[in-house]
Amino acid sequence: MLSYEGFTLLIMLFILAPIMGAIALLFLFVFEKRIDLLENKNKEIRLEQALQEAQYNKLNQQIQPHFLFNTLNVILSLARLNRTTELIRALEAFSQFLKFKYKASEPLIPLAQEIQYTQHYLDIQSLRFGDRLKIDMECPDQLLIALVPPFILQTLVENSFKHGLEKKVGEALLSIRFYQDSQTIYLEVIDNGLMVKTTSFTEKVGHGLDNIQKRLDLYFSNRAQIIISSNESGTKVKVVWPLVYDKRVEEGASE
Amino acid sequence: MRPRSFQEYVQGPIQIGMGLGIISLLARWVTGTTILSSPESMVKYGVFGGIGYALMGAIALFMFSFIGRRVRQDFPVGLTMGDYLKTRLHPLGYWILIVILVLTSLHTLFIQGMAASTLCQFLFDTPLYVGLFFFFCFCVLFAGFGGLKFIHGVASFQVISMFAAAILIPLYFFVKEGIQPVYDGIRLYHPYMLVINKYDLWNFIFAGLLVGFGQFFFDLTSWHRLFMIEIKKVPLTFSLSGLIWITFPLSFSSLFIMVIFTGGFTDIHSILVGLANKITTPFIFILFILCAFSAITSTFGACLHSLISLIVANILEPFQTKKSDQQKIRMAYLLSILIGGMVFVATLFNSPTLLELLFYSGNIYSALLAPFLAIVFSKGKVANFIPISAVLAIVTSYIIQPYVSDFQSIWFSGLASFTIIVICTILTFIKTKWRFFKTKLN
Repeated sequence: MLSYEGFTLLIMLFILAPIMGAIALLFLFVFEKRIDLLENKNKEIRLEQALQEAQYNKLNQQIQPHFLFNTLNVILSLARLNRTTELIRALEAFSQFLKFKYKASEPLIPLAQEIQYTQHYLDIQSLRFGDRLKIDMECPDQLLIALVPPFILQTLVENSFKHGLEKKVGEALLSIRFYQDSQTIYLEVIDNGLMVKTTSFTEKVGHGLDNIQKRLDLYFSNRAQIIISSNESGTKVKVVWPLVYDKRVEEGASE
Repeated sequence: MRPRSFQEYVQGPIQIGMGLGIISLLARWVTGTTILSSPESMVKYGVFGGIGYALMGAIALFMFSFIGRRVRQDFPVGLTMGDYLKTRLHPLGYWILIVILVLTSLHTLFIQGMAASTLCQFLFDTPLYVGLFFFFCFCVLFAGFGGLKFIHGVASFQVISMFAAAILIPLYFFVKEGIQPVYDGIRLYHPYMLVINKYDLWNFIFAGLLVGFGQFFFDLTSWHRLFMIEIKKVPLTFSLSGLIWITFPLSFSSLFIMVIFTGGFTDIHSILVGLANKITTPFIFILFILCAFSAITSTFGACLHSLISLIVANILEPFQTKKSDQQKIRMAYLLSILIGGMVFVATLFNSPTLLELLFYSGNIYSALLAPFLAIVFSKGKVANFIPISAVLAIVTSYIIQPYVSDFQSIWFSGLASFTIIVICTILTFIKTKWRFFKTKLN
């Protein structure tokens, strides 16, 4: 038999239930459009992100053939000059370079990987230039696991050769320096090459730097920048971007 | 304003969201039966009978959200339930289910007609046919001629009036009388209502779940709404409708407790008369009448409109391929008058109680449950034995009905269709394997 207390509770439920129902329906009517609007905005943001990612990947893919083209030209010039030994070593270095082909889907890679990748290109160039080429590379150990958009260093090095060192008579100096200041990474690529006089930025830096600029903008927006300064003694390119670490690597290091 | 196309007549001009979807479903499912049968089940099976009645409807609507999602994934665009069945059944099975659908829809209309007749008898001293005639005229005009746009236009007002009555009337009574006298009165005059573990109550709840599931899953209007709600909002709309719907039968049950705590009663009509005597404030009385009228007309209108849409789109269209949209709409108008007239005559000459009516059709809905689930959750077209199992189960359950109780015949009906489907599926499987084995041997 139902007690008086139980009966009271039931009656309370019977009376309160439609009030709750009406409030729920009213809430739905008032907020449904707003929820839809928020959902649409969220969807828009996700689409925008996907679009940016697609643009970024496209740029990543664009730069690779560009670099390959230049490297093949280097190898071709070695072949034309009948420098067989250097040619064989260049091809070995080139095959090593291809072995480290980047994964196109990864927007950021560790700096160590980027340096290693560029090193293969520098090996090929060292063969061409011989003793004339002096390379000075500096990178603190703690920065080796920091993340960087792929092909940045490689493109800058490639530009140094293409626009400066190629035409240089005598000793060709290339200095690559990474350093950190608080939460920012700095990369300086300095060469003593002869800079051809140009009128506009895009013409001067070419497709490679334009690509770097776009990718940095997409990934870090206004927190990254490229500064180029050039005079008779050479060219200095400075790239600045925020310090980002791979969480998995960080966790591994802490363990 | 006349709809521009038949699709607009059936589905309205735009896809609806969650809010309007819930209003539309509440307009369909808060019915004359909800107002009258829920208290009837309470006085027959105790306080928990009313709760059981509310629960079985809410659970059924909630479960329909899963089915609805599955259906819309398989068949995103459609007008009526018939369109979906056409893609899942062979012609024989399709026509069997269409006939059952038409019969069950007519039955639903008849039940609403009976509720309207109860209301008319309660309200007016004039002969029954006068009140009923105006009721049917109103329904045919707003639903049959107005189309879905008009139905949804009126539905908001109908649901608001139903909510107002469901909130204000019980609140008014319990504040006025207090709970203690009501409890004492029920204990004195109807102590059986306070018994919790009544054997019949569990029979009622379990049989009710079978009937409720069948009724909600096999309802033309629910399917109709399913195809007009935005696809991503389908599950939430049906689940929330179930949750909100439950509040109505609970509220109406408490209302009728107020009437019977001062004495006995003979039938549902005497409870209504008792209620009229209790309601001394004109505002509350008008609110109750408005609520009852809204519940009955909204359900009748929605069901009439869905039935007409099904007949024009799925029964008449295959025979007359070159009908223009305007001809189809004119056909729908004509059908609404015909069906309205038919139900009017049937209501005038019959007078079973509402709960009897609900369980009278219980065998049909219970038998349809297993075939319906098999159709929705199978892949591709389903074999004819599935709809045939429903027919066999309905026929056999009606044959054995005189020898067993109402509840037992409902269970039998549900179990029979389920067993036939299982046996036929096993046999088909063995047959296919045997054929495969034979081909391999040759």
